[in-house]
Amino acid sequence: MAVSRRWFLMGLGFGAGVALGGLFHLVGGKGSPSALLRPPGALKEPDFLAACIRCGQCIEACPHKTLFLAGSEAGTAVGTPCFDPARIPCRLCEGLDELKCIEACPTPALQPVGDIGRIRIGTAVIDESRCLAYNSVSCRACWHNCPFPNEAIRFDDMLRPVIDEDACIGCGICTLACLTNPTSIPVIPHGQGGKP
Amino acid sequence: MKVGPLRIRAWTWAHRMTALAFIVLLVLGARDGFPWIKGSITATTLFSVVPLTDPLAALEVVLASGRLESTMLIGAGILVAVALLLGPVFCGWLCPLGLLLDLNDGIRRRLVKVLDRLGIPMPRFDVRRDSRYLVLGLALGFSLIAGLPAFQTISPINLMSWSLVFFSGSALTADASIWERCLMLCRNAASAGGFLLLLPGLIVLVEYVAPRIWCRALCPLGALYSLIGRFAPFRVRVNIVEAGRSLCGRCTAHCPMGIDVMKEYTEPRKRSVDHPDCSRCGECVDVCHRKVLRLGFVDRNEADRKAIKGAGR
Repeated sequence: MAVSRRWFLMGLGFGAGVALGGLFHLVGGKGSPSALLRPPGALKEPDFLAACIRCGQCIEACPHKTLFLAGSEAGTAVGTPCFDPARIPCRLCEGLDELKCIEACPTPALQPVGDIGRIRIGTAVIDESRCLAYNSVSCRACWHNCPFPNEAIRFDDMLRPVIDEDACIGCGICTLACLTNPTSIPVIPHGQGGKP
Repeated sequence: MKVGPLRIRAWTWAHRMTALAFIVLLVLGARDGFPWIKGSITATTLFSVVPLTDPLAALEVVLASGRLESTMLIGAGILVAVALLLGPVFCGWLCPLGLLLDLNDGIRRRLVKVLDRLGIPMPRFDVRRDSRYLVLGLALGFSLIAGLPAFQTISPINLMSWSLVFFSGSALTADASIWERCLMLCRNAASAGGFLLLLPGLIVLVEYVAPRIWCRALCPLGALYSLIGRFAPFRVRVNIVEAGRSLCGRCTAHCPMGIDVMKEYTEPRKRSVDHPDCSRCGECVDVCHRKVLRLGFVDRNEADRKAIKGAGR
């Protein structure tokens, strides 16, 4: 008797949850694609939000302390991992034999990538109004630091850097390396205008 | 009233210390040079190999994303097995929010006593309990449709553990005195965590007029563990020889889950407290003067029967 009441209440709650979830969907409660940069190997944003269990083990595993936990300002993404390349970019676990965050993730949210070049975190975009090379100053800081020089960052015939969107993985190393303040080469997460 | 010899509330302190140790270890685990425990409440890894996954979190992730992963399933399986054997021990022995609310309730009890002496009545609302299952259903249904692990996003248990584990920040490694570091820890958890501590804080306040309302009436995680641990053999066992002699009611008065422990064993043929909400915290065992109650896996049928025979002769 008591048990059946429990299951009844659970069913009632489930129904109400389904209704509320539908409503949440209709009003776009999950919001526009997040402006957060995710760890390498992350599923696309809506799937990532669904699959991330918010345990922070990727954050603890990160050898460069790149990742941090999104706070309450991230709304429904609170508790998920993200990073700010202007602070610490993703160093792609250089010198280590695997990407530590992906290894630490207990959920399907972070998928093995195989090759570093196949990571897709976002795309670096050059702000030509601020970039030194676009303003008659010789500068190659981004190119020097890029893990894929001459692939992700090339130079045009005026010796200005150009991003190859197909090769850029969005690690944000160039963002930090940029000499201007604020940086002239931010990384735009996918779903925010970056390529899929 | 006769005052007995000094007795240490062994179970009470054991479950409090275990919960305290768990959250302290999680906080330490977020630092370098402490590889033995990693993660937070929703998923933890022990000794870099043993995964533990909160079964509700795993269920929500599976419903929301439609994806499975072996690590997550093994982790949830381990905790489900523990709950099948020991009951909802997470609530009594590991939950950091449970620990906070437990200590908070101790303060409330003393406050009520003082106010009583002053003749000021404290309003008290006891909430209907099964609403936890409603919240559980709500969380699962919402997760399925909204594609978001609903409870994990707002869980005050998560919010609290995130604040401590991930926003206590530099406090532990800073070059400062212990006292300054403690201050930093509190400040960081409160400021960087920001709104994260709002919900746990609100619950702490509400519990002054509605004792243990979170654990008793709202927590879906506790509800899930109760469903799983419904028939767990580890439970409060009753010594039928001693039972019902003094009827002091201290067990019922002290039960954090508000279970009528007395009723559980005065009802005929019940040798143990099989209430699904019982978190095996052992507080009733500790406060029992006559050693009627005991936490254990099996009834001591034989011993009790002999005692009854002896009494009959």
